[in-house]
Amino acid sequence: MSNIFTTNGAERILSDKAFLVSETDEKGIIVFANDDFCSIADYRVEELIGKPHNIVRHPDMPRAAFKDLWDTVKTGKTWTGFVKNKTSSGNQYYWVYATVYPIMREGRRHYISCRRKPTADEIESAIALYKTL
Amino acid sequence: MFDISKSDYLVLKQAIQECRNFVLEKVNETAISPDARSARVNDLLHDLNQFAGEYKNVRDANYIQAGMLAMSVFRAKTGELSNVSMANCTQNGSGVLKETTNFYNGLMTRLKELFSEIENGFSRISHNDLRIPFKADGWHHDIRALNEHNQ
Ligand SMILES: Cc1cc2nc3c(=O)[nH]c(=O)nc-3n(C[C@H](O)[C@H](O)[C@H](O)COP(=O)(O)O)c2cc1C
Repeated sequence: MSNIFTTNGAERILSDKAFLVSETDEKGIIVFANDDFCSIADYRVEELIGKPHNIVRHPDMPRAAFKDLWDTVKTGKTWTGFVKNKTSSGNQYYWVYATVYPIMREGRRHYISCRRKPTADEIESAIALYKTL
Repeated sequence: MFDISKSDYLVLKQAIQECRNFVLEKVNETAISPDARSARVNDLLHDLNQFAGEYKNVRDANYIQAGMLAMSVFRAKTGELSNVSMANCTQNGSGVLKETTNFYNGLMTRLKELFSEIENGFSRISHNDLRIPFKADGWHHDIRALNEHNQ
């Protein structure tokens, strides 16, 4: 599924049609990841399920961004923002525009994240913003 | 309306362009600030910003529904058929309809690509121009991609 991204040095750039989806339980443990997510992050789905979502966390991402994400979704609201993630080897990264939202699954709160391609300008602004956090 | 200053006209034009890019998903975020000189133009900019905000809510809900759909298919594939409620993540009544439209449009785009390739193939056959081989990954690939898009 290499048509889902292109590579530019250490960066993987999502294609326009890439749509990455993952679902976590209320603690942020991954219970589902779709093919696009697996292929960009370089994992098999079995390797992701049961792991905390910070498995793809890139060290450049400020803690404050995730605090904001969790604070928002825990109150039942939708969080949108730009996230830099790392691939399984840790040698590559990819930026996404994420929409995270709580759902109820069998009486329990779960969260879904859907991700699309950010523009180069949006990535630039996110980098600048995250440097200040 | 037509006696607005050139600078306000450009601000308004730019704001409309931003909205367009946002709706066409060329950008993910947009923020239109009412910083024109004329109060009337600012009023229009304010409206545009509000419409963009409303549109974003619908789009967010659509993404989530598309995600729900992806998960349902995943669960169906792995044999675990659970009920997911679309209603839980629909922020307004048109959400589900919009989502269906999204998928329909995506599917249609793929179908159009597929058809234009088939058409292309036929026209080459009828023009006896088969020197250039068909795409290496062939139609079966497109059908698979069509299927994947659907998931
Ligand atoms: C649905 C959902 C999706 C998430 N996706 C990501 C992600 O793609 N990348 C990431 O670094 N954190 C993601 N997080 C946040 C992580 O749970 C975690 O808060 C973050 O990686 C920081 O982890 P740490 O403070 O334990 O290092 C997600 C959380 C939720 C609820």
